Amino acid sequence: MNKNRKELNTAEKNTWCPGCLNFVTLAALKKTLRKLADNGEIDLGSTVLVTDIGCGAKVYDYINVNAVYSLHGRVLPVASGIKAANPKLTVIGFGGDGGTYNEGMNHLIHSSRRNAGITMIVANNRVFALTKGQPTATNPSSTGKPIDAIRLANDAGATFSARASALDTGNLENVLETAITHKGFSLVEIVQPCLIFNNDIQEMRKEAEKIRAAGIPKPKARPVWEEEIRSGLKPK
Amino acid sequence: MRKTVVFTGEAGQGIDRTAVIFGKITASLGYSCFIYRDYSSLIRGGHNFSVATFSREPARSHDKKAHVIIALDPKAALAHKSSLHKRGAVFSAEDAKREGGSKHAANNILLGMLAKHFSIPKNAGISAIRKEFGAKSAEAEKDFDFGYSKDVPRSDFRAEKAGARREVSDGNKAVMAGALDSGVAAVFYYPMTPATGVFAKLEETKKETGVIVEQMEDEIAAANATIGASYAGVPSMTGSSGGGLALMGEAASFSGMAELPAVFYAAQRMGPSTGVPTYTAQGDLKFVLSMGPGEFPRIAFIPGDIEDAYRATREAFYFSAKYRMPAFIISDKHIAESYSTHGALKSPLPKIKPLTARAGKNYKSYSITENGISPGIAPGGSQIFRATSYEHDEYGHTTEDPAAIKRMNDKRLRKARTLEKELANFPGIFVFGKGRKTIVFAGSPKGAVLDALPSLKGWRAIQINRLYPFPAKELARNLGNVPFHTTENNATGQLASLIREATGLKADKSLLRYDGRPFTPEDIIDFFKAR
Repeated sequence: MNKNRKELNTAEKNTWCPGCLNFVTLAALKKTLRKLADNGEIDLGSTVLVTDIGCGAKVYDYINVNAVYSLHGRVLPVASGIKAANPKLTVIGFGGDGGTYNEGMNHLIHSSRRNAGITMIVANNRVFALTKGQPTATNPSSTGKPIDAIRLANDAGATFSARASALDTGNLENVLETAITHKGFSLVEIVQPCLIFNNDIQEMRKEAEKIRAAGIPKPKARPVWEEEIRSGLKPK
Repeated sequence: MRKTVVFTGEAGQGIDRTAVIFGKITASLGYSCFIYRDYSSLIRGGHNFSVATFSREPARSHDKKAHVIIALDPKAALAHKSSLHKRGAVFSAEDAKREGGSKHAANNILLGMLAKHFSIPKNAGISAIRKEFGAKSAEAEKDFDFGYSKDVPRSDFRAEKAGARREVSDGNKAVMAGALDSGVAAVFYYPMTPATGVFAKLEETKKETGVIVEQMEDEIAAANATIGASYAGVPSMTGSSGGGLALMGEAASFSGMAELPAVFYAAQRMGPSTGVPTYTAQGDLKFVLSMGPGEFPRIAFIPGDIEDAYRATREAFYFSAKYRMPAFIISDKHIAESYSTHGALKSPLPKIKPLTARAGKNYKSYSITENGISPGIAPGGSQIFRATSYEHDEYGHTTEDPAAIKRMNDKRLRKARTLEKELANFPGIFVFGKGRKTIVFAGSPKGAVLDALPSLKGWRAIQINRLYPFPAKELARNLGNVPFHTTENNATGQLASLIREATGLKADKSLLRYDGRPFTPEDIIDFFKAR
């Protein structure tokens, strides 16, 4: 197929703020995809990236793979439909904390429960940045208790749910690799500052150290949705 | 001569099933029959009924007045006494007891009595019961036989063999058959009355059909998963009713923008809001036509009976896949859940094949073409397949450039014009009867209007088969300067408004019914006779 696709970069103009940590995440994701493709663990031609909207979603334009730019909060049902229709595809969702934990939380809980073989990457900067900095459900300054989505997904049945930091690239790449190669639902939350609206970088450095010290959780095995929904069906 | 039987009792007593078995008995003898279900939103108890009308002539609707009442709950009969013809018969569960009878003994004993009443040959009843209950039919047959052997008052109408056996289905079954014959591969839904019926039937048969049928966490997930499956290249479908459909609006717009085909089964119920869940209406015509933000072309068929429902489903899948846009099958509770005899379910359209990942070099998801259609592929090959809700260039990359925005908008809208041209080969309207004055309708009032027509001298009827693209020229040409009225199951005359918007022609008056109940021929005759 397209294992030898040389270029993961696109010619699209990057419109993130200078110095945005999204650049780190984008580089880590491309590096991980390249490594997995070179090792024969994924086929880039059969890889589909499904994005939310907003700052993080712009990876849609910046990585040269099949991609769907979906709706706010709806990455997971779109990704689930793709995986259901064609289990051979490697399906990676990419969104923010606002889309995944505010708008689309219902889908995160049910995707964890279903355990479809998809990876959901959430860039968590604790704000709705593109609408100028309103707090999301993970922001301590928002009304109510901040959400710990890793714990929540784990309780709901996600078979791999891990936090990483954009300030620790090595660990981030390891977590992404574990998630994408895991057979089952993976949630990867990337903790990162927003340089404009939530720039508590010192605090996040401490958090990055804590994340590294805690180590990467071991993925669990459980039947995957795309196989369960086919079980007993006459092949079409 | 039309004969009508009301089956009534509490929820859970098998009223609907008994009425359908009776319908199937008459259909097996070559009669035309129609069965209307009237039930409340509860599981056990209450007062439900089904009305079965049968006739040698086409029976496409049920009548207001009954010749027989079958009361599974003796109290329930009282509610229908006023609609019983003079000399009508009432058979009650109290008269239908048999020592050692089956669980639903009364139902089958009453069926036996009813068959005897209409002089239906006994073996026609027995074979319908055998078909219905399969291996477990022995006791039910005995019950039927017991009822048939009773001395019951006889109708002057002797229902002997009238012709070749006919099929009986409900609208749900026709939509399911249409989806399967179209090649549907993935179905995602969330239950809501009356749309659920189609999805329940698809669930029941998925092992044999091989179709992926999944209940999702909500309507938003169902619609977006459908679009995901469509991106992966397979014909896919979702649907809901009223409020559930409202939750799918953003996904409908996504389908339109990303040009990922999706079929939405839109089964209306009485609204607004929660409305009256188990009752019928045509209050969502304009809503379905404008579901979703922004301007994008769509397809919307509005079937009026079983055969229409099948054909509309085939056409929805076909045109949605070909033109890469959302398609809506606008149904309602009355079509979805009423049973009737029908002709062959057929369509000249081919089955849809899943898309392959094969594409030429430099493939563009949104190639600018003269007819507006940009051929789709499936992901998994050498070419990249991008689909997006954001405005985009030909490759599917994000753009905010004014010229590019306009160019892509024009391309999408060109599909509507190409579609209109192709649809000129498919009927947009159907004309029934001859007359100077015209009743215009769309969807489920069809049965009552057509059954009323022979009693309305000087009137003809026009059925609108499609609301988008609206068959404006065809309708205007047929209407000419003749005055017309609409017949609609809503309170505001939405069809009349759509006709005026599309053609400039104004309906003289509209016959509107908005009490959750469908029209009967009597309603139509009473209103139009004097006009």
